[in-house]
Amino acid sequence: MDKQQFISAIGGMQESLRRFLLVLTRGDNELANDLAQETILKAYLHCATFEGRSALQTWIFRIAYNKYLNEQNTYWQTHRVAVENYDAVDTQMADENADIQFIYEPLYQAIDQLPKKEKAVVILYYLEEKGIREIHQITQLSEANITIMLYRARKKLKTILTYANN
Amino acid sequence: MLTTNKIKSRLRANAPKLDDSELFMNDTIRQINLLPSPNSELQECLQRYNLLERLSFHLDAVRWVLLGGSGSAILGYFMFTNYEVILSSLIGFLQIL
Repeated sequence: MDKQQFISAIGGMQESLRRFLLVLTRGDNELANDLAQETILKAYLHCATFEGRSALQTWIFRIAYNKYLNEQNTYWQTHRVAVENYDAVDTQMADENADIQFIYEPLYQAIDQLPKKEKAVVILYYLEEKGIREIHQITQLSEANITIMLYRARKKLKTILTYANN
Repeated sequence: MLTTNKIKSRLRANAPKLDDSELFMNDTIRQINLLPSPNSELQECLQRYNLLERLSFHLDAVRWVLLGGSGSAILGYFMFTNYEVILSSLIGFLQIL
């Protein structure tokens, strides 16, 4: 794959990639774009090693997902905050750069309360409409685990939304 | 009832707005153009060098086994027959080591 082929392939999938990262980062446009760009540059530098065992888009999403997890780990390691302040800091961070309408949409708010991996699985399945097998290739979670995660997430979302409505 | 289709349509309808895609792609392409090609000659050279390095490690191992074996054979052959030869082969073997 040469430079031009790579750029045109990426051009077609950049919106989906950025939207996935944007929801994961709770609407932080700047962070989502940085992660998307780092993902694309890393994929470009290693595209000679891409063996085509999965679709290019799946491979790119896998890099993006790992970048997001690394970024989250690094963030909380460098910004050690008391547990009770997590929500406050998170909200403040996101609200500075976010699409406010999206942040206050109840379903997205509910998804945001799920654990990191569960949240990623839900976004990939419902928003990006990826299949279980593809999600397994992206997250490296087993297919059975993903099915259970989706079931649990749906139950949690229902509880959170019912609680919020009352 | 929170069905799969309801979740999908609600997420799609309220998906976050993306920044200017053209701006993002232009900046990304600019950065890609600053990077070396993934199939550059430098990478091929590094791969070849890595292969040579591994080959030379194996050759080294073979050489040491042969030297050790021949040293032991000489020692064994002259053992208890000629002290001078035993001593000189021992010194020679130690020098090789």
